[in-house]
Formats: sequence, structure tokens, C-alpha cells
Amino acid sequence: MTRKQNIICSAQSGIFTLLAFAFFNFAYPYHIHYQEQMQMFRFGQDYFMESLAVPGGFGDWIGGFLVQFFYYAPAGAFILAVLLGLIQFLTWKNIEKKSFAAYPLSLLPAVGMFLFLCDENALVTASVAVIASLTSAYLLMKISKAGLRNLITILGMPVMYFLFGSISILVPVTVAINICLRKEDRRSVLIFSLAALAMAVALPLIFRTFSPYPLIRLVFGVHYHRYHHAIPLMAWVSVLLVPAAMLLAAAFRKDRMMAAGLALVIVSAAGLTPLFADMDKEKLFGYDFMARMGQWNKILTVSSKSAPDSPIAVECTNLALAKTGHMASDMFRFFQNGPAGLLPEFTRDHFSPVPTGTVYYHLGMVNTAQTFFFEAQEGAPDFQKSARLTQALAKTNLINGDYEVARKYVGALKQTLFYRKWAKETELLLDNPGRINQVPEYAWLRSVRMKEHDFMFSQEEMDSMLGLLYLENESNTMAMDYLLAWCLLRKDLPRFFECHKLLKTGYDARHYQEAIVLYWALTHEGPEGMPEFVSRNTAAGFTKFLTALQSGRDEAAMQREFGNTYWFYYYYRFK
Amino acid sequence: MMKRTLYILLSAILALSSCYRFDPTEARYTDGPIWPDYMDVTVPVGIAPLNFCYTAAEGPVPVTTFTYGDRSIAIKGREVVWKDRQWKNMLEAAKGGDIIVRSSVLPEEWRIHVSEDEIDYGINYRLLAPGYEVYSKMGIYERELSSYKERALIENTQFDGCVNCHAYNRGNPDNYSLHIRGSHGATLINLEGELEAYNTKTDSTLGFCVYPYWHPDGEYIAYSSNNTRQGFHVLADKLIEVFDLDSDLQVYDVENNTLISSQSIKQKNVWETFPAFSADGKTLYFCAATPKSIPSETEQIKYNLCKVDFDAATGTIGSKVDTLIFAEKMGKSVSFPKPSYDGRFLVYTLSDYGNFSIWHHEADLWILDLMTGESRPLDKANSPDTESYHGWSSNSRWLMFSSRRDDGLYTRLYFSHIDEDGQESKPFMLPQKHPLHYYSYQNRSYNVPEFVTGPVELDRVEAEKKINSTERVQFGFRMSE
Repeated sequence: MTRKQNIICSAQSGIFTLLAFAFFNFAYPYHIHYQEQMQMFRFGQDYFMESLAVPGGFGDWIGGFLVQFFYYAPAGAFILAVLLGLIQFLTWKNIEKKSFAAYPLSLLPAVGMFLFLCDENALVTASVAVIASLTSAYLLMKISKAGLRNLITILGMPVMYFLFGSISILVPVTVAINICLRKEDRRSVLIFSLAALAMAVALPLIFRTFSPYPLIRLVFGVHYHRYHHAIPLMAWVSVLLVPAAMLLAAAFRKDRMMAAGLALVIVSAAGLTPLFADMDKEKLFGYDFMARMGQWNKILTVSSKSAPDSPIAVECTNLALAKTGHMASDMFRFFQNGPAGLLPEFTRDHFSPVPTGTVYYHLGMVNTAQTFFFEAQEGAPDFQKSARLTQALAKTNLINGDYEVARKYVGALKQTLFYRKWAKETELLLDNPGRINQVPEYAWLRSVRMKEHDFMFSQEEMDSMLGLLYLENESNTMAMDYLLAWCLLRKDLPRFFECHKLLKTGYDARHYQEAIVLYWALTHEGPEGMPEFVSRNTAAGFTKFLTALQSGRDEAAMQREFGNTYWFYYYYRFK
Repeated sequence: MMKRTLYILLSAILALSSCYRFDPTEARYTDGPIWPDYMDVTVPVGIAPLNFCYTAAEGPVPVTTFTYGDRSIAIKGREVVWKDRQWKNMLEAAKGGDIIVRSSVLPEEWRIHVSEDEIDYGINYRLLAPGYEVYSKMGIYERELSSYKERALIENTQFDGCVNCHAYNRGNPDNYSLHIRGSHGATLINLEGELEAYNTKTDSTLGFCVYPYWHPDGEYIAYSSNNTRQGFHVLADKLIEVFDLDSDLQVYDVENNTLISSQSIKQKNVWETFPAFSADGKTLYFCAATPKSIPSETEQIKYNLCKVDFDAATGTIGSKVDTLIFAEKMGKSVSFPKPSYDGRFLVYTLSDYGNFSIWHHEADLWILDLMTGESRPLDKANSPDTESYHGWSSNSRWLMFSSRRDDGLYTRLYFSHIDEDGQESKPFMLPQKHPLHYYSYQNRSYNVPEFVTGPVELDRVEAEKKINSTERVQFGFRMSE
């Protein structure tokens, strides 16, 4: 290739890598945080040996090592971009028939892997396995003695399979294609191919006797996807694109064909990314991340721009409203989907209990938060522990006074990179429990948590639980906010009215006034006796609302005018 | 170049996965000078070395000297790690006697009594996180007691579900019952190498068969069927309550593939659970409680220890139920009755209420002398925290039990010697090569520990096929005459 062609090729790689970085960093950062919180990479022999015990475990260990840096989204985006860049670079290095026209074809496997990585449950291990396999194949092709090279490739297959899993089949496939393209001795090519095929079939069957995994997982990879029973299809498409690119490269010889190759890459990447990238989930992960970090104002800003429409988004928005003291005045400015948007019921998965646990934690329902965090961690489909949730469990156990359990979690976190500092600080508290109450977060939660009334947590009796929580410590105004919001969202106005009487301050908040005037209208013949704090404006607004309602105005019109009132929710939502 | 790259790569990996080094600050399980507390314990000859560590992280490095007769072994270090051969020789020599232990940093010496009573080949247990509804990786594991070797018999990485109750006939590894829960629910029964998957739920029973207990002649297995639920407390010292809304018992006739029940163990207004055959097989022990309203009366659920006759020749269950321990009167509740195989004793767990004693900090082990009818707590074995599930060695001289004494949540295994008079010894914890490190990072609990007299031959691949297939042999049902 000419110097100019070399520059064009390098530019293609550079632009691809930059675009990948930009996508993950600017459009998909919360997916990166999600990935990070789904694992707890620990330095140390135990974790290393545990990882190594499974076929592909070494690749998984390297993948975990890289994903720990996803704690910072830009670092994660950078790592993903570098991995994709490496896949492209190594694919190119393994292409026997190199030409200017063939260069864009080397981007295809990387594009395939990029699409795979758009899935939040796609593990980085697959990329690591592809890189390791392509590196091995490239180094093997450097061995000049064909017989020796073929023998090492075959004998190396079990090692590669053990270290990186079934994607390592790329090694013999790449070598086989290249020796075919080199037109080496046909007989030796045939023998090599048959031996590689036999080994490829035998390896999962042999490893099955050692590894407690079904055959299908040993064939398609144990650690390439978080879900055990999911076949990581796109990862395998990316793998298949390597030999496809190598073979196509032999046909792409004329310079003018470069444009066709590049068009193929651009069209497939640009056309397929919207299909593979799940921006709804990105939003959800964003809400969870902001709630985790206590970015309450940011949540409200996001929710103001785009109405939260999923239970988790609504739940986080409500938490943000409560934490900023705006729940009683502003919660119906945002979409509400019933009590499930306040405190959703427990579901058996690894994600949705996390934001709900966060709400209970802030409320001071420490045991309930602990249950939700624990269950979410146990629900991880790939049986990994989560550094984030382990930290949360360390906190709840510390608050509960279960210091040895907390120490166990802290001990694990001390072996991590980004939670180590926190763990060491917390260890000092565990060594001196008297200092725990000097940490405002723990002191507050210990003061507001339930201490006298024991009962079984029950979603049906949420109002009683929140009420007792408030009565045990009236400074826990968030419990009262949630109790009243719970009654309002359930449209249980008598209960709301009863609980509202307990309020000593803030009783005249906008939504409370709206609810009381509505309750009064439904239960009394006139306004006589209505609490004095209900303003004239509220009463007038309600009259206007009733008039509009009785005139038969359609829902859209009602929403335009009254969509931010409790009255609209009461008549048009959560039916 | 290639060599250099490989060298750098390997160095990086070694650095990142740094090897084990003893760190005495990994946990603070005790205020005592050593952990695990192996002071003045009784051990069998065939037990793996009882390595331990000093809890003091600072001060002079201890030298620990073990002496029996003219044999003496000194080990220097804050972690005392035996060489296998030296430990075995010492125990062989000291059989029936006491090894005297002196430490350079402790004023008092202590003893390790080496019992003449042998212990079984190994133990089986389930390892799972002490969770609630959702389960992560779990499995049934086998541990050889003379070494630290542990192997997985079956794990839930092989199928979608959880492995549950497992039981052997007096530790016989060739006869076992293993329950799988989840979408591939089944009970695997292995009879002399023949493994079969059963559907144990019938139209006449409450649900799947759980809590298995083998009849001594191997022709019957007693099960209970429980409609189990759980609730979560809000106070700091309590977390979870697990309770039954209903439960019944039945006896499985292995040869005729039929469950047998009777009015006496399937009473409408009684919750029966935890069946266990007596050593001679003529009696079926179980726990029984009067139903209460849940959750309001959860703390009033008190299980008594009861028994009913069983005739193995005809497969007939007696009609008269006797109460052995009227725990209700004591304001307590019995769970997990386990008679010794010599027929002399029965050990049970006593807690304040309910039957899921593992979540009860007050739960303790008690022993009932079946000859005298006297019952007492196993004080030397118990701790201020939970003691719950337990099992006898095949010679009825060793009691293994689960305890939460170390951190209050993660269950670990302890062994206590029970002599001919029912006197227990101070228990010792299941030994590990580096116990502090191992237990600090073990994030799963030991659950349902059972002794086995030899290695269990479970073909994992065949078991996986059986579990993942939809074929199940259906249990039959009949009422006892």
C-alpha cells in the first residue's frame, strides 16, 4: 500500500475507535456503570483460582479486571474502544491477502463485537477471548515450520479453550484459512483441519466431565453472556466475521473496491446500532445511577425534560422529590403510575430490587433494604457478587450492629480497587463501633430505624409500617411524606386525611391541600369545617376542575390544564 | 521479543493474583486468644489437621508446642499450620489420650483429647448464600474429613433450579434422596447405583416431598410436605421468619413406588413435619404443632416432639400419636429430631417458636435419653447464637451441627463427641487449611450437613440429563391400613 493508503487505513481505524468511545461515553455511560456494579473483581489468589476453575475463566478474570475500571464511565468507554480497536487491528494482522481495498473488511468483526456490547448483559470476556485468539493465531503464523506450527496449534487448543473458552476456536480456524490461502501442502492442510475439527468437538465433551455446566454452554461459552441460557449470538457473529473478512479480503484486491467495503461497514454499523442499542434501558440505568449517587436535582431535571414512564424511573423521581423536600408539592407534576411507582413490590431479578432497596434505605427501613440488596445480588444471572451491593450490605449490617458480617463484606471490598478506600475507612469504624454514630449517614439511619415495634414486612400494610416508622421518630419526615403519598396514590383519601392530622409542619403543601379539598367534596355537602390552611386558590382551582370535568372535556384537554394536580391523578390515573 | 512479552504478562498475572499470606486482621470472630477455638476439644483420629491462628496481630511471634509422651512438635507463627504427616502421626500416637498444647505467648496450656471413636469418611452439605427467596450459585458438596478436599457433587450451574434436601441411609453413599426445586423440580433417588427422577407430588399430598429420612432397612423413606412461606422482620436483631402454612407426613415405599400416609400423621388441625425413623425402624418421630394464625400468632407456633409406630413388614403406620417432648408447655418449639443410630439418644433443636430454627438466635441443641426420657441442653456444644441442623455419625459417637456462633449469619459446621452416657464434648469447627482466611471469604453457608461413610458416586452428567428432561416417575399414594 502507498503511504497515502496507509494513512487512509489508519484513519478508518482511528475514526472507528473514536466513534466507539464517543458512543459509550456520551450515549451509553450508564450501561458502563451497570456493567461495573454487576461484578466484584478482587485481587488475590482465591478470586483468581475461582475464576480459573471454569473453561474460559482466565479470559473472564481479565474481563473482570478491565470492567472494574468501568467505575468511571469514560475509563470504561476508553477500554471498550481499545478492545474494539484491537479486534480490528488483529483481524487485519491475520488477513493473509492484505490490500488497500480489503482494509475496511477488518472492521467487520469489531463492528459485530460493538453491537454485541450494546447488550447490557454482554460480557467483555468475549472481546478478550477474540483478542487472545487472534493474537495467538498471528504469533503461530510467524512460525515458519508448517508441521511444528500445526502441531502447536492443535496441542494449544485445549489450553486456549481452558483459558478463554470456546471462542478460541478462532485460532485453528484463522490458521487453517491462512495456510489454505498460502497454498501450503493440501494433505497437511487437510490433516490439520480434521485434527482441529476433532479437537473442537472433543473439548466441550471432555471438559463436561470436569465442569458443572451443560454441554451447550461449554460449546457457546460459559462467560460470554450474563444469562446462563442465552447463546451469545452476536459475539459468535463477530467471531464468524473474522474468517469471513479473511476470505473476502482475498476477493477485494482492486483499490476501488475499498469504498464498497467501507460502505458495508458504515451501513451495517449505522443501520444496526439503533436496533442493538437499548436507550430505554440506558435511561433506567441512569435513574438508578443517579439515585445511587444521590444526584437528586439531576434526577428531577431529567424527569422534567422527559416524563418518567417506567416504574423504576418514577420510583427514583419520587425518591428525589422526597430527598429534596418537594414530594408534597410537586409529585403530581410528574407522571405517577400508582403505589408501584413509590414502593414497588419485590421482584425476583437482579436489578429492579436495587433502586427499591435504595428507597427503603433512605426511609430507614434498614432490614427491608438489606433484603432487597441481598436478593438482587443473589439474583445475578452469572452468580457474580456485586461490589456496589456488597458495599450496601456492609452498610446495612453495620447499622444493624452485625459487625462481623459487615467485616466480612468489608474484607472482600478491601481486595477491590475502587472500594478499597471506603472499606478501609469502614474497617476502622468496625474496630471502634463507638465511632459509627459519628458518621452522619449511619447516625441518622440508626436514629430513624424501627426500634420498638416489630412486625413482618408486608406490602399490603405499607401505610401502617410507614406510620409506625414516623411515630417512632417524628424527625423522619420522609416516612411521613411516603405514607401520605402512598395513601394518595392508592386514592385512599380517608386514610390520607387521618394520617395527615399527624403532620406538625408542611401540612399545607399543594398536593395535600388538593387532596383535602377533594376529600371534603366527596364526603361533605359543603365547605363548612374544611381545614383553614386550604387556600382560596386551591378551592377555586378545584371548582374549575370540577366544572371542566362535568362539562365532559376530553382527557388530553384536562391533562393540559390540570395534569399537575392530584385531582387529575385521582380521576384519570391508576384506574 | 515473544519471550519477553510472555515474561511480562506472567509477572503481571502473578502480581495481580498475589499468593496467600496470613492476615490476622481478616476477621474478629472471637475475643479469645486463638481462632477457631480448638482449646480442650475432643477430636477423632481421622480428622484433618486443626490449623488455627492467634487473634493478636501484634506482639512476639508465638511458638506453639504440641506434646504427647515423648513426641513434641513446635510450630512458629501467628497461624499454626500443620504438616499432614506430622499431624496424623501425632493423632495416631495419642489415640485415647491428650495432646498437651503450650504457647509461648499464652500463660495457660490446653489439651486436645484424641478419641478412640472413629469418625466417618466425610460429610455432604449444601453450600448457599444465607438468602431469602433468590438463590445464586449453590450445590451439594462432599468434604473428606481426613483432609481439606472438597468436591462438588452437583451444582445449579447445570440446570435452572436449586438443590435442596439430601439424605443418606445412615451415611450410606449408595442410597440417597436429593430434591431439586424450580422449573426442573424432581426428587432424585439413588438405589445402589440406579438413579431415577421422581415426581413426588400427588393429588393426595400437600406438595413435593421434602425433609427425607431413610428407614434403617432402606425400604422406606419418610418425607414431609410443607407449604412454606417467609416473612421479614423490621427490628435489627431479627431478619426473617420462615413458617409453614400447612404440613403433613408420608412414608415412601421404595419397592412399590407408593407414598403411605395415615390419619395419625396427616391430621387436618395439626402441622406435622421433620420425620425421622428410630434406630430399629419401629417408630417414626416427628414434630407437630397446632396451627396458628400467621403472621399475628407466629410466635405462638410451638412444635412438640411426637412419635407413632411403624411396621416395616406391612408398611403400616400406627394410629396413636404419643408426645415425647411437650415443648409447648415449656413455651418452646422442637425441630430436627435426629435419633442416634444406636437407639439410645435423640438430639433436637429447641427454639422459642416455629420450626425454621436457623433464623433463631436462641436456638440450641438438646439431647433426649430415649431410655430414661430425660432431656437436657447440650451446654458444651451450644453457644449464645444459633445451633440448628445436626446429624449423627454412623457409629453414633459424633454429632455434627450447624452453628452461627462466629458471625451470626454464615452457618458453619461443628463436631462434638457424644459418649455412651450422652455427654458431649466441647465442639471443634470443621478444619480448614487456612481457617481464618477461608471462612472470612466463604460467602456461602453450610446447610443440611450429613455424614457419609464413603465417597458418593453421583454421575453429574447423568444427573443433569435426568433433571433437565421432563420425564419423571410418578409417586403413587395409599392410606395406611
